[in-house]
Amino acid sequence: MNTNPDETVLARWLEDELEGAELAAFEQTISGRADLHAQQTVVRAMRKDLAELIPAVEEPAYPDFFNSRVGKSIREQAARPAASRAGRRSWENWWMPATAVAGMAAAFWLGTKTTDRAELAGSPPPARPVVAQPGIYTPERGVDAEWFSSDDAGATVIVLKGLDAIPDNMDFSQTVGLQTGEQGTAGMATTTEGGVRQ
Amino acid sequence: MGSVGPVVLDEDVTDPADDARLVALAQGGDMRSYDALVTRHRGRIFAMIRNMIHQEAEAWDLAQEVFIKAWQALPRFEAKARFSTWLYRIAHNVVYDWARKKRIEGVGEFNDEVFERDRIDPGSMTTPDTGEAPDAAMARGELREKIEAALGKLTPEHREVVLLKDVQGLAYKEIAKVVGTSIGTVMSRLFYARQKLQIMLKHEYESR
Repeated sequence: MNTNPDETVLARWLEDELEGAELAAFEQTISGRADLHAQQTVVRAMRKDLAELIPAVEEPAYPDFFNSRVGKSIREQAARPAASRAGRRSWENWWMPATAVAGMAAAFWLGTKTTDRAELAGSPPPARPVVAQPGIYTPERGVDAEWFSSDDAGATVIVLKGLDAIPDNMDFSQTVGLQTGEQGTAGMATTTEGGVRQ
Repeated sequence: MGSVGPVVLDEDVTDPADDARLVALAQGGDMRSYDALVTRHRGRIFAMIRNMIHQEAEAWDLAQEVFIKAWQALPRFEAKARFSTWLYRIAHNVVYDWARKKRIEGVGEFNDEVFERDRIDPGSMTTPDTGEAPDAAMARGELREKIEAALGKLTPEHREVVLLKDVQGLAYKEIAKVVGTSIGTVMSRLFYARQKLQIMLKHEYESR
């Protein structure tokens, strides 16, 4: 038969957390256990020594300097994020979506033109890259737009190079007002401008 | 800030009512009130961190980090807990982040090697002055050294609950909030920590 007391209750008893009937009942169950009573005596003595010998409060060295450095760090951080956050938001909210949408619109427009010329020539267009002019179609330097189109494959692929990855948590609804219906491609350009104005 | 009157501090620096007034002012952007909060709590936070990691210079830096993070999070502090308990929680996170970083940097595993590179000098100025006779004081100093050595051999989780309970005097519920676990787990950690301490300090307590 297992005569060991419940560990949870034992733990509470050792911490002097049992009271009233619960305490009486538990002490009855361990009445013959001198080892547990001895353990409780040791635990009480250790708790007392820990409280008395280990410092609960200890001033850090150079306490005034400690405070002033905390204050200085807080003031520096308060100034720094304001500038960097403003800059980052400006980039995220304006240039990234604007660059992406302008690049895509330009590539789409170029694709339309190329297809028209190919049809006029009476021969199917080969798949070839067209390099968009970043100075004209993308407001951000170093961004190149290429598109690949093939009627045979029935596919058009637009590749934008040089853009930073768009963060997953970016809320486009705050920067781009979607338009629907007949506005089509013209709507995209208008949408971009409207979004940028926000 | 207008609704909060001038702060006349109680002599008891741990009085939660004074903390609440200072916190309200600091949440309104009053740096002087926050400075007062730092002054009131830096001793406990520094001692707790130092008792955890046993490295004074690192403890100084980490205690700084606690108060800087606390300021940043202050607008979100809702006074559901005591300000001091909230600070202990931040200190817990700062110490464990530091230990993880040390592990990544290859200083050691996330165990006592990270926490135990230096030992507290038992004769340092922080040793309580009990006004005892030299022999008794020496005996207490030796006992303190042995207790600290035993604490240092516990896992950080076990050491933390012992320090929060017996040294800092927190209630079980508060300890659970600080370490982010249940009261049952706190009790369990305390139980096993005490068993280990009892074995390590057997010679000190057997003769009593």
